[in-house]
Amino acid sequence: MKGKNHVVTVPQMGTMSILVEDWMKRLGIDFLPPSPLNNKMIEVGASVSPEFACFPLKATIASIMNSADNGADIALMVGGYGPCRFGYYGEVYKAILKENGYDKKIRICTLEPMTSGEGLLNDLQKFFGPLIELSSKSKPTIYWHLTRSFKKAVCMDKIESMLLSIRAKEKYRGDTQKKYDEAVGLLRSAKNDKELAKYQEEAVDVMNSVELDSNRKTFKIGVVGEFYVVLEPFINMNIERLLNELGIEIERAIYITDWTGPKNAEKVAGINNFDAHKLAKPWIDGWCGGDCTANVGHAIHYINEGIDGIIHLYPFGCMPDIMALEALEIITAEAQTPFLSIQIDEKTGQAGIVTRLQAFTNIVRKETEKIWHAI
Amino acid sequence: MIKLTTESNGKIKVGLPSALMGYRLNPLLDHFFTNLGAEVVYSEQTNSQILEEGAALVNENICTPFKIYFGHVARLLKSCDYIPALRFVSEEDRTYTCPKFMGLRSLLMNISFREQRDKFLPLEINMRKFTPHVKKGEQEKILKAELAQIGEVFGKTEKQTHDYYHDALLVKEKFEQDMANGMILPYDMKQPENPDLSIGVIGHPYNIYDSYLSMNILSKLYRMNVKVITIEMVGKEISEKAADTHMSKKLFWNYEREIVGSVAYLLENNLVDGILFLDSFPCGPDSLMSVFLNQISNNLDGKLMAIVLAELDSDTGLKTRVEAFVNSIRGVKAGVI
Ligand code: SF4
Ligand code: SF4
Repeated sequence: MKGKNHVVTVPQMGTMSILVEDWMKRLGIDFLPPSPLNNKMIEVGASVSPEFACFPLKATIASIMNSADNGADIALMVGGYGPCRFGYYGEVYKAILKENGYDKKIRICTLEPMTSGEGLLNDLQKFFGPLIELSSKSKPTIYWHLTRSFKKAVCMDKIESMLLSIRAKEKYRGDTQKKYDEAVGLLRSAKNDKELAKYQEEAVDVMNSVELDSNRKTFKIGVVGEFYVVLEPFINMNIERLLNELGIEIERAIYITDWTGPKNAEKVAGINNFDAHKLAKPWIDGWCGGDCTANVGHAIHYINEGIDGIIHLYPFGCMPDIMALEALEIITAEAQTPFLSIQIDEKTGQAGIVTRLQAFTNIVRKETEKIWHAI
Repeated sequence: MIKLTTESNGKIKVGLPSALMGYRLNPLLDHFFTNLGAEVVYSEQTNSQILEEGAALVNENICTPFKIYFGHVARLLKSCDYIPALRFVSEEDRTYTCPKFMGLRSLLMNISFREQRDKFLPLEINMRKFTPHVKKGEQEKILKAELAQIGEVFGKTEKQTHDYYHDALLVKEKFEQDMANGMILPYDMKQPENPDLSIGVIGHPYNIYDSYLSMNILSKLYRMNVKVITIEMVGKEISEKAADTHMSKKLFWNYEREIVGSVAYLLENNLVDGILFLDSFPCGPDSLMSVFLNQISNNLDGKLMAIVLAELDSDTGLKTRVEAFVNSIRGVKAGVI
């Protein structure tokens, strides 16, 4: 499996491929960015997947098969050891690819996290093994490049968090998105830490150069939920853009680097998992897979900070987040914070979501105005 | 599993739901609480009202066995002093049960029955050596504190409670071994005297032995003169080994490991004429297993039918499907002879 002959890809998930592409480039491995998802792909994904598999599986297998058709022959995937289904996705992919005759076209390489309980050496081998084969580089080198790409991705996430608030206040529709693309372009081109530091400042300036509508009253809502449906705009019908356009600023509980990075590190999204779990404890006591407990903690944090509303996104059948939902319903009701939970599957249509968001926005507006009048 | 409630005898009544992990842990809990001096009360068998009551307490999209569990708890709360609130993380090293088993306690005590939270006895069962988000040594501390708290309720010392708990773990193990060795049949199961077919009825125990949820599949097969083999009868040791040889990555849910392994083992050794896989709607881990079960049974030339147990299924519908499956196997067998 020498790097020169192979083309690597990752399943489509928000801005994840930018991070991986940067890393692969540094390692001298050819990379094919996954195509944006579309309805046709989702249809294919749903038709090859087990009927009740969670929606992210259906979307990601579709993305992998699409990239295979476009010439990629290795798909990198993150693994895991449970208890949520994500950790077994890689194996399910392999089985599905085989069933559909795609196993000759593309191979799944799962990078397993260091938590198998089978010892660090074993874990290191599982994580680095495939990449060493592909790049003929050593573990420390591969790791060092990962930390560099990761640093860049953190900068990008920070810019994205600016997008989610500035776009709600822009004077001219579409302006922030343009500036955001420009800023991301800058960051992507950074070749070393020095350049990155310089471009980051510039990127922030670019974002701050968006002309704001000073008359617009904006509101702020927190978005929590299962990471894939939160991070992949096609899957969530671009809910964040829709909200921004309705004049709503967004605080999002998770970014790509929050999800891929060490669990208790400093987060782009505000509080770290450790603090989130502490806040969640009176409701959801202890980790129960995926982001359930962290989501509850984030929602409480937002409420404590005086957020105007909370939106929760989760795929049909998701085990951790359906429990989060139970807790979020009571927590938001007690705090009298407007709350909307949206369950997403392959049949969810954008029209329905737009109507629900508009209705929700009206509630948020009314509630907030009530408070303003009271003051 | 039913024990009738006796007249009040001054003992503290502890209710054990005959649902969900009860089908793994009730022998353990029964032994533990009886030793502590409690009167153990089981909930009655699941029926449609229990499911309805439970369904009203949780989100409509949560899996049916979970709803049933909440229904059982609601019933028991009316007649019992205490109910153990389990956080059942794992029953062995390096596997999990299911995320929902981990969140169950929080949902019971902090959400659905929060007004009655004093009636719950928290107990965390986690046999893993390492669990993410849990600091080293913390697990033992949690268990120790919980056992102490339970002991206090029954006026027992920490040492006594601790000993009873460890005895109870052995009881669970023995119960499982007895089922695997064929010393006892699981949960009042009946087997025909001269069966002409053997079928593996595979799935989470609460899907198989809860006759309401499984729509009496076991007695249906009994009446069809079919011998049934379940994952408990294969036994963990054998099924887990078989799963690990058939899967390129170790399954991290113990139930799924037992399910996949049992199917592989039974087919590989020609111990059954076919497999019925019962999965309840919408079960997270089970939903991914169908691909692997199909592959394994195809490779081993086995016959496998998957049945998704949903709330609205009709009894006759299931009967027709099971009959058709059994008849087709009988037909093939007759043709071969
Ligand atoms: S978090 Fe939920 S949707 Fe995501 S992989 Fe896990 S079970 Fe599936
Ligand atoms: S294993 Fe499946 S059926 Fe059992 S609680 Fe979990 S999701 Fe529900």
